[in-house]
Amino acid sequence: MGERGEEWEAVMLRKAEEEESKAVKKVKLVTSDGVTMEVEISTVKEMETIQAFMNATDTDNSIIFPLPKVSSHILSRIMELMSGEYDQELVKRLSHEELKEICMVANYLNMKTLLHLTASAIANLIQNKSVEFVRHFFNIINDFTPEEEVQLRKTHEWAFEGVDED
Amino acid sequence: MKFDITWLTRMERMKRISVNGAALNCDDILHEILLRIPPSTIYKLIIVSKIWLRVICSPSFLQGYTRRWGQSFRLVGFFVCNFLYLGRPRDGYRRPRWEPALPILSTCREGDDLKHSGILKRCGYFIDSSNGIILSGLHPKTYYVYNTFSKQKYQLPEPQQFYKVLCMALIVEECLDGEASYKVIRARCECKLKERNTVSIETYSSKTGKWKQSTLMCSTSFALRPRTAGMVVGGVVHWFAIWGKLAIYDPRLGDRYIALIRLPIGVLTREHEESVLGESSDGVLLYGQSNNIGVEIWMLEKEPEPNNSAIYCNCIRLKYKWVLRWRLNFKVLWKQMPSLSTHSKETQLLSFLPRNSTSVFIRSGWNILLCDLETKTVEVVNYQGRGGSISWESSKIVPYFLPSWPNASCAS
Repeated sequence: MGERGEEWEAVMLRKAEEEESKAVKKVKLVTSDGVTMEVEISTVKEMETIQAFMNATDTDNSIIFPLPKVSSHILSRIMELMSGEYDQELVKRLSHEELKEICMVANYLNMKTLLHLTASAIANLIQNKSVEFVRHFFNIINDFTPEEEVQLRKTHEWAFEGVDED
Repeated sequence: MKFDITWLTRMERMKRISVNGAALNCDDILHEILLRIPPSTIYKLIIVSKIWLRVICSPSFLQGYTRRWGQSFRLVGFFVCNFLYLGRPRDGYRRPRWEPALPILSTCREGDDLKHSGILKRCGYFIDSSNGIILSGLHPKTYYVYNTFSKQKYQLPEPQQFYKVLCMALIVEECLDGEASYKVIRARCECKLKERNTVSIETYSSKTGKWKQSTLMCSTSFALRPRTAGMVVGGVVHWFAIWGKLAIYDPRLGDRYIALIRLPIGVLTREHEESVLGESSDGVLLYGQSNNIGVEIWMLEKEPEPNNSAIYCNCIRLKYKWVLRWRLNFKVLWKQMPSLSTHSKETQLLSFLPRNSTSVFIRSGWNILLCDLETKTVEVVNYQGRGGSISWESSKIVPYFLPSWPNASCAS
């Protein structure tokens, strides 16, 4: 042990302090209904949009992050899903509205696992369903004229074979 | 706290998304959801709305979708290719006026439309088709490529090489959004059995618009079987060669070699009458042979030679092995359809289905049957056309399949 040893020790100590400060560092997410949710920095890791912002802004203070289009209800649902390690059963318990909103937020915050999970759940819901059901599910107004729809069905006869109509 | 540009654009997009209310309709989320819907449902969703039609028909979606689910095909009909006319010598057998040059036995309305469109009247004789692209013409100079999606017919420039007897291959590299890139190969067939371990071929590429001659080398002497069309699997061409062999040519990296392997020997081999090639659902070459007793089908397994560590292996550096997949006695079919047994002398394997390891088409007299090799069941394929007017003995009957791709332009 000599000077070098001490130096090494100092570096380790500084590292440990840094780790510690990182561990306690929290991110505050402010939802559309004005609720502030404090989440750990590890949680934010999966939210690539926020992560990218944090990497770009080098700040020591705890970060406040506004989510103007995410309600506190949806955010807490997302937290539940994350802490439950994205259990399929939890997804099944979501209402259609919740599922759609979570899917949008997952896309917006760039959360890959959550996006995969919710997109698959929605795909499962609408497969083998009638076109009317799909429109209703997505709140879509049919913007084809009756003539256009007939024409599409005619030119894609193969796609509609063996399909039970509404 | 500073906001960087990317963050701002995200915020902007978010605002835009939520303003119109139907946020799930934004293209990238829709993409994510639709990619996960199985082929049985996905294509009927084109009538949900104009946005959905546009997303489902977009080349980027279709590319991602087929990568995930594989390509599905639909049968349109059967082309009849009469060998007597296609490579007809000057003094050969003339086609009677009443007989169409490129007959199609249509199996659906699309097939009827193609038949009545008149397009097939000016295409010469059928040679091959792949991914909906039809290669036709008249040896040795006139060749056409017809793209069913764009409804465009293109006459290839006149070939530079004269081959008295030849076989061909059609390689469709990509076919999306109406645009296809493809290659057409003409290969010389030696009619006199000289000792020869090379073959002259000429390749047309849609990218260059030109024919290019090259000479392929093989380690032993060989000759390609005349008037056949090569089976292309994953860009690799497979031709029947004489003396019960199969010639394999991999043009992808510009190599000029032919690997020659022996066709498998089965119980029917000695007196088999029909040989056909196909592709399995997982992209492996299939070989089928039949006589009037039954059918045998193999798949060609290949692996790099053990002492070869290169990532890419040329076709001559691979080890090939035939694995018997199916053996079917036609008696099983007669039990299901006793009326067909009267044609038992005239039963043969017609062809495989695209990317399909478990089904084949079988001909029995004028009947075309779809046979499931797994369940050993058959069903009759109804087609439009007079079976009696076809010279089955001198013709090759080739199913015409189209990839199941929707087309947005039909709506506008």
